[in-house]
Amino acid sequence: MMTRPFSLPVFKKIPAILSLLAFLGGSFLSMWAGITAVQAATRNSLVITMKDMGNPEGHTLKTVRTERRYHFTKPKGWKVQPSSSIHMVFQHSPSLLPERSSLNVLVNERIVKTIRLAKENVVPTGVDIPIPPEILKDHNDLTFQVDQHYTYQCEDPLSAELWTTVLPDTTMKLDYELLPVKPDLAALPYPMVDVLNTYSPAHIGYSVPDGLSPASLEALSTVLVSLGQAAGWRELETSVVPSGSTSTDHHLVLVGTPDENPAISSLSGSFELPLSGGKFSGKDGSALPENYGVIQLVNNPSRPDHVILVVSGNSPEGVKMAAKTLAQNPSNRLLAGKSAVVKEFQPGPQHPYRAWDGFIQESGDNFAKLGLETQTARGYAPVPILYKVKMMPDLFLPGQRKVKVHTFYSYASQLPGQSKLEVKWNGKAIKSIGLDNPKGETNAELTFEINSEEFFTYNELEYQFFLFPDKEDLCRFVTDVHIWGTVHNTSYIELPADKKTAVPDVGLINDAGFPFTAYQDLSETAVVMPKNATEGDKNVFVQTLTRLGRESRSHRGINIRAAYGDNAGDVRGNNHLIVIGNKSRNPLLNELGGKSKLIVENRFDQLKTPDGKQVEVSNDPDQGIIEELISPWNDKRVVLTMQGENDTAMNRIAYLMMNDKWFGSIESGNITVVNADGPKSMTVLAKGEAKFLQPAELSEGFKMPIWGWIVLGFLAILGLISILRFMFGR
Amino acid sequence: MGSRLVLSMFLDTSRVLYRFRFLNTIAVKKSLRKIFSAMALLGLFCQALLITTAMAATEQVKLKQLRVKDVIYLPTVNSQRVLQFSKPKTWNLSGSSRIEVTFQHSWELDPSRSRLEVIVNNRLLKQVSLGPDNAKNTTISVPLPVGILKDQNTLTFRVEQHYKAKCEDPLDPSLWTQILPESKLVFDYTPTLPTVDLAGYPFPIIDPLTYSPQPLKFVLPNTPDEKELQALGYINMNLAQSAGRKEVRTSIAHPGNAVDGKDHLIYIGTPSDNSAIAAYQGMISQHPVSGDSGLVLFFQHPTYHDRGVLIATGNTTEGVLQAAKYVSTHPTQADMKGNAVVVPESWNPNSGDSNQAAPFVENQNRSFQQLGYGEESVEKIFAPPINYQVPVLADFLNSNAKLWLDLSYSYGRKGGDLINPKFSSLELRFNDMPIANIPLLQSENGESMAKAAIPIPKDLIQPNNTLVAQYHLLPDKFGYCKGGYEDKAWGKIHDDSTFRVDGVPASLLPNVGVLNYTGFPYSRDANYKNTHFMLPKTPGDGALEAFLGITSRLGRATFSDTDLRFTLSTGDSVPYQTKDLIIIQDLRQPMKLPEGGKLSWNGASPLLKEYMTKYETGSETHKLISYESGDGTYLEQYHPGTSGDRVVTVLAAMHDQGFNNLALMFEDDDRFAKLTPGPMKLLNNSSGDMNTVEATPARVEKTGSGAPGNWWDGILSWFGALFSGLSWPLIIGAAIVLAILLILLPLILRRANQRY
Repeated sequence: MMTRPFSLPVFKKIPAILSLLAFLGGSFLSMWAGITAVQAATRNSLVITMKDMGNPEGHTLKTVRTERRYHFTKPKGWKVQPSSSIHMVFQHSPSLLPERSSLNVLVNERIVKTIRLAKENVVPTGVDIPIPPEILKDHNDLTFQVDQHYTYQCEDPLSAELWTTVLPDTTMKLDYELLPVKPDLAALPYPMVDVLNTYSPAHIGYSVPDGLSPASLEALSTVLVSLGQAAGWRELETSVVPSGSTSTDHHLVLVGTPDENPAISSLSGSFELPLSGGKFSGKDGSALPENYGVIQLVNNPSRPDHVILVVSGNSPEGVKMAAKTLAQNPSNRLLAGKSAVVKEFQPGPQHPYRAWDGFIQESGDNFAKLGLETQTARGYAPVPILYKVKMMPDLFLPGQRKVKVHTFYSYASQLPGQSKLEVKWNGKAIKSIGLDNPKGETNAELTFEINSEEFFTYNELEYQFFLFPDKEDLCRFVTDVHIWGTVHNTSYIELPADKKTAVPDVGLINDAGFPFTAYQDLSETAVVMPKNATEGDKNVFVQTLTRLGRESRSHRGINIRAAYGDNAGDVRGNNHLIVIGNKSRNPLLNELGGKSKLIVENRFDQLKTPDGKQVEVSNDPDQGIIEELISPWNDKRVVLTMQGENDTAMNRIAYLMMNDKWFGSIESGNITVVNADGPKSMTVLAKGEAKFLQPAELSEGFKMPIWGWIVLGFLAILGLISILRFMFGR
Repeated sequence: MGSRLVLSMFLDTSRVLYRFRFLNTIAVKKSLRKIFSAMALLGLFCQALLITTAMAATEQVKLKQLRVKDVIYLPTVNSQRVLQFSKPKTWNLSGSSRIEVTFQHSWELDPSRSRLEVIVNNRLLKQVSLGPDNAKNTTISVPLPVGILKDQNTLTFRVEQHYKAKCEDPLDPSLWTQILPESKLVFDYTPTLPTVDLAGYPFPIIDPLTYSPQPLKFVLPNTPDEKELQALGYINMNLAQSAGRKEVRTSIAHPGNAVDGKDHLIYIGTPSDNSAIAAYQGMISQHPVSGDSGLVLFFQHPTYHDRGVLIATGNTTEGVLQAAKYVSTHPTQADMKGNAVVVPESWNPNSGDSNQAAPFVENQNRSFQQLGYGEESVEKIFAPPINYQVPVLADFLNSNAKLWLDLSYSYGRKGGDLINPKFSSLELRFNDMPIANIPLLQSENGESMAKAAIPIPKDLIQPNNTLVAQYHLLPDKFGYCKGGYEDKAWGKIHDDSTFRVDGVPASLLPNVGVLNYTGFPYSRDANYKNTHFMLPKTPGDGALEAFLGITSRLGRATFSDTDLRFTLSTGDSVPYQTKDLIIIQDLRQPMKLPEGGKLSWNGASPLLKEYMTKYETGSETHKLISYESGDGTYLEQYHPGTSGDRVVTVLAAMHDQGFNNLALMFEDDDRFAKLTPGPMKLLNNSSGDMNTVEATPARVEKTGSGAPGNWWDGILSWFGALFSGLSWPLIIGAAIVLAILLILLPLILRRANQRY
């Protein structure tokens, strides 16, 4: 039998075939991996400039050694990538000794780059520095630290020749991937508001359907203020989403019963608590009673990277209860999972009147009460100690009085006579003292005065220590590691102020929402909407309540009231009112009678100025008009009307409320006109149309001094004796 | 696994090729023979490689595991950092073990005079010149001298660094080197089998020398009774005390559950309750017990030889508890050796009362020694700061009490040049704030046992504090640069320095967050004699794991010098207790809690929870919310009833996953660090974060009108409501008119009466 000889070339081909297969397989795998990588890596990038960090002109590091710290955050939903980097552009004094001068760049405590300050980088020089993502935490510091010398001998540590500038072209680039969003009520307000995202505004869409019941309208108001408070000073852009729609590029809030808000019904397949026939059921399928509230958090089916917060129930009362629970601390801290059924809710104690965090409420408040911390400065040229001092807007400082600031400070021993402490108030130097006790001092007191005219609602107080070690000698080795100065937060401010506020004044709203936020839970504030609100009215409603939320911070819940103009009897008596719309839509505006100065429907209006002259004011229909007046139903309350003839006007008011810059530019006056280029305020008041609101009138009710009670008691006893004498015939 | 697959592929290929033997060509045969021989050799080699690979292991220990937060910063002209590392007893290290040091330094350093030294157990292993070539991130590999390694070892990074030849500033900021967190110890080792003997108990179940958490599996009866649960608690807490700073990971199993070789096994129960113990009947029968005597068996696992097995058993559950008490008593009993001990019914730990002071400041003074610190010395101009962690578990801010630091310190010079009193000082910082700067003015030759009483500012006191004592031992201004300057200055902080409590501070409790600081308040007694655990009537595995989690954490917080003395009970409601309570609340079978809690659960529905709160000034209970949710894991602490002293901590969950998350929170150091102050916490099951729930959250509470408090507040409030809107002068005027009327009316009536 002939056997075919074994062909070795076949074997020889095996490796080649295997190689080919391996190559093809490898290529396929690489392609697949590449495709997968592209799919997974929806990379984003954020560039933070020196302007964003508060130094648009860059920062010059002076003296022999100093540093500048910039705080930045890592948002909760970000996974920062290794490609993140700092692009630093700097230049320095040509006098620096290259072998003795260096610039360190630190992220947190890690030196990520050290640069020699030599001749080659005297001119603007750029350098890219990678940021290792693993060293980033929620809160981080970027530090530029310099150690620079111009001579080996007899060096003046404060010499003008010692400088390095971090130029404004310097940027920090954070590359990141967005982490998937997992709905969890325990994590709220995240992801709607990420308190660590200080870079871009949070975006939340609200559905404001027509025909919301008053209870559901109040629920929506509560949620608006509550999420506004969660955002606080961070930018928050809210918008009105077309009724019934859930397709939006933002996180979405739906409030109301499923009947009132059709968008809720459209999500019935996404809920943990099932919805059928317009009614919610429990997890076990049993129908929930009418008065129960329902809170659900779901991924948006059309945008899974966004969530929809549903505040609902089988009745408007249930909706209101759900909203109150969501806004109430600490109830809202107990919610967990994707859904909650609220079976019962009773309001807790309200946030105390005038209890504003961080604001001077009365004379003698110390720094600790204002939330300010004890701070220390070290070395030759320490960074100034800066405090932001805020005063309640209802503290009235009469002219030609002095505010006294009592500062408690300490400093190290072994400081010679030339060391000093300088104080600046709103950027102006007002006091300087020597630190000349060789043993140092602990809790020494420095009192200085500030003219009441220079004390505003928002102020900056700066303490700059100039510290020199004993036997300072430019030509010898003397260190500065052991010298320091401290300002204690037991320091306090004596204010000769009265508690009263002149109203009406639209500009007051710029002082953290006063008087509507006098109670930080917005108790005694009500919003009155037109029954047939236009999109512009709804926009004003959403933006105004969001703004009031951002300007306030309740430790409790939110107690704002809401009503429609045709049925506002319940709310108008005891509340500051915000009335939205115009006379044709909102009947409450008609009830203000002749008190309102500008009649929006007329193109021209006659106004009487304080000196009695009649002036004719032309009115552009696109102008938004905001006017504040003393409430005709309660002269201790005000009414803020927000009127416009058309939606252009209303949207301008809405933008004024949303935009920080515009809002910050509202000036004092009882009328603010909102034009395309911003707001303009004016005061047009007749005699008797203005008054001082006093806190006691607003909240604290009946308060009588002790001697009043003594007189009253004496009279009561006298009267009693008289009656007894009569009864017993003597 | 992968290597085994490759080897089998080779062998299969050889077999296939051999089938071509019918190709009877000599050349082919020769070629095939060569191929087969080569493949056979390759197979043998691979097999040998597999065996070696199976035996050898590598463990990489990063600086973070040696308790370094981020970088090690080495400033000034001379400084060092000493780290502790261990060598587990079961590791036979190979010569390839090494230290990989990644560092960077200031480029200003003069390479001829600057160096980094890597030292292990005081032996210099490597000296690196610090120059421009290694200023940026540089990694060096330093072989570990395995012969000199002990159980506990020191790794020292030391630098000597200069920027110029003479008259430099020894504290100049350009003098720095950083050891980066990528640095690591790489241990190549072959594991050896542990010796399992009660004399070495709890090794190997607990080996504080290891780097990974200790895996412990407790095998319990299906329905353990109170005694067996108490035995479980004693054994687990004692093991945690032995683990100390090392993490443990516990789990629960029952008879019939499969066990693998991952965990050390601890069997608890009588053989009749726990059939898993019956599997060791042969061993048990060799040590007959009677009555309520207990039996302890401790031996190597018959299958997984590197794992230990502990059995605490007896004929009765009292006997089981007796066995558990025996192994968990300190000091260890003299007859505790071998693989088995019978614990007689009459055995009593008889260990007296604890003499240990709680390692924190509360109402009593605490010396540095009691806080766990000895005498600390520093030297020279570059003296590093001396750091102390000081837990203060009392509220000084809201009381008249004051906290003082009575400092005892010395300084001087060992010959050499003088300290310049114009410059030198001892600076004290509390939580990064300077609280004192003591000039060292007394004498240029120094002082011995000098004293200083330093008030601690109340606003700086936190539950966990850092005290830093920094000596600035500066020479005469001309001293450092003069020729032949000898820096022999030194400073000491003595261990009799004391935190003195002046007055009675207010209580920080209730505050579940302070558990994070040394297990307070339960750890006031190291043997937990004033702690009572309450478990559900029939605790499920989830509740038991939460119990193990909290007992592990409390055990790691203290080391008792006596037997453990906490008590335990199960049931539907909590019996009256004079002790501090820890309650494991399974919301599927909620028990009635002692009054006073903010959180309570209505048994009507397993998902129904009610949150109760009280007005701050009144006693009215006010239901704030009642809601239903399928999720939620909670921790709450409160004072029960009217008691102002005792506390109750409730650990509640509504499913086993929630309890597992609780257990992990207690056992994992990183997760436990998230437990911040607050009376109540909601554990976020997805992230491990915790929401703080406070019934009276704001200090602003006191500034405004709250709810009615005292009766007179009520009356005034009523008056307020009545006269709301009226000003007080108007009211006074009206009162005067009324009073005049009252006075005049009788007169008028009398006149009228007289007239008619």
